[in-house]
Amino acid sequence: MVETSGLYRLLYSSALLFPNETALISGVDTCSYHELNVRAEQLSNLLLSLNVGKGNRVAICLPKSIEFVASIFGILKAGAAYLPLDKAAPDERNRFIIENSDVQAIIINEEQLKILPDIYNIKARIDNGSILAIRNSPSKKSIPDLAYILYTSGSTGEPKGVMITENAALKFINWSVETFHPKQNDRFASHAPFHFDLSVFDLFVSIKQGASLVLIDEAISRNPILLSQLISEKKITIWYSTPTILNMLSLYGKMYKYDYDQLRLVLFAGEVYPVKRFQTLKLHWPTAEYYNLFGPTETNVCTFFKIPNDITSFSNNFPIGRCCSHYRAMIIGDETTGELCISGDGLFAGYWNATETDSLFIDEAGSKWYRTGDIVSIDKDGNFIFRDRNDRMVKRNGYRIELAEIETALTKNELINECAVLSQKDANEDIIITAFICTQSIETQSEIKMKEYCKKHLPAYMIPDTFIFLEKLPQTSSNKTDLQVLKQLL
Amino acid sequence: METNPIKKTVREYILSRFLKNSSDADLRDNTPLISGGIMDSISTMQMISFLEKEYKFEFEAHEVDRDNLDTIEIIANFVLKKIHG
Repeated sequence: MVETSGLYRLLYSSALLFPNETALISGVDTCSYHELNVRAEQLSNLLLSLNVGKGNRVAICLPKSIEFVASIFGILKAGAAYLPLDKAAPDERNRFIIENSDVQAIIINEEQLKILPDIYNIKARIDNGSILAIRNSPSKKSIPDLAYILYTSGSTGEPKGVMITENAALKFINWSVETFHPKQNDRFASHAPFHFDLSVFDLFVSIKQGASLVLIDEAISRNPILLSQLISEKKITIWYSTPTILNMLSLYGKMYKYDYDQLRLVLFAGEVYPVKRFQTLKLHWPTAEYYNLFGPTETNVCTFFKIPNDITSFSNNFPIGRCCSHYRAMIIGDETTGELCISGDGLFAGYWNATETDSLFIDEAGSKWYRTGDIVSIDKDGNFIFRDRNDRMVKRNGYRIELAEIETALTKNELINECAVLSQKDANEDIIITAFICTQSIETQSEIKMKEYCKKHLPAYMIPDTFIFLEKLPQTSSNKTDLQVLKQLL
Repeated sequence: METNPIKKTVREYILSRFLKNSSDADLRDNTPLISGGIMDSISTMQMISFLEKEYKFEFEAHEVDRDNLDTIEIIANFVLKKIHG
């Protein structure tokens, strides 16, 4: 008997309690708890028969679908960790992640087979035509108890895998249940893609409660006109997304056409939601409860703030609030402003294959604290206020972007001699990314060509907004790129 | 010299909003906008909102699609079809 994983147990329990209730809704398709559990079990048995299980990682490269969710639970039931890929990301990025993470197996569809490295052999067809491919030699590294690995932008120029254990994920899920009191009759939206950590809430909290989860595919998720209709028609009660999406909904979603009486809880995270923009959304959704959630992938949510009914006292941005009950927080710096550090059982287990992890932790008062890199202060009510970052990481559309990763991708272009990437905020608080480029000849100085190149080599959210062409980059006296001089050119 | 007024308006909008350091000559009627990384999902919505105001028609939900928006040529044809019903 294989020991069942903590996260898989959430599905197992709900399948016992509510076998015939709807677990998933995807377009016109639905899947009951019983069916979802059967599908997860079948996949788990298949994986175990091929020696994929505890300590292994299994990548999934599928569109958002019932199958994707069944794969996640099947992998977890087998004791392995799931690694969701972004099928819209450039192929070379996905290939890098597959090779870097040393996955033992991949669940993939026909369309994405092109990213599969040679060392993987197709072993079986699973339902709906998806394919299970297995590494032809066992993977070298084994880490037990991981639930998932999510790759995010890395400061070294390459994506890095954040490892989350079963126990850490459960801490977050339990905190969510205690804080938001979701019910069995709730309808959650699954807006965030599964490679984005907002999805952990949607997926596992809804399954734990025996509620229904409405899967929103990629095409609809970025189309506010379809999205506003879907939220109303599918009678979503709990919504979680980035402010970018909420803002697109309120600006372009034609929300006046629909009613949203059933929507009771709206959570947002991933970036700052300016108060002015929030007010526009609230006109459409006046009765919902709103929370600003905060935290990097390494902690999932670590602080939260309930938006009060009266928001007249907030002029610019909302606080990020207080520390979640499964964490402790402290500031290193002076008494009121400094770097936010987090300690507790929800923390990530390190970066996959990386050596840089150690410097991100400090030992203090007998505990291990993760240095988030976020500069925060505390207001008179004891809420944390986000100020800035202490590094070159920026957030756009909720995704984190290490500017160094954009520079690395640009430097690989043979036509580019040198480059530097900077960010700034515009009047609407939106992040604008500018790339300074030195090319070999004037003919290659085309913003259009640069964007086209970036589209092939970077995820869409990392493509710089503007390109400025220079003969050479300004240098400091110590021969480093003079970012201060470049800032003057923005 | 651009003679089609819709193409001209769309081109000017793109250059002023999404390609601030490019010239008129760089941006062709068939330059891929969405698949070429010039417009993302947010700028696509800005473009739609601009077209709706400028030409006084409404995008149906299913029309918000790369197939109607990926080049200046395609956008101009789509707008023409919408305003002349």
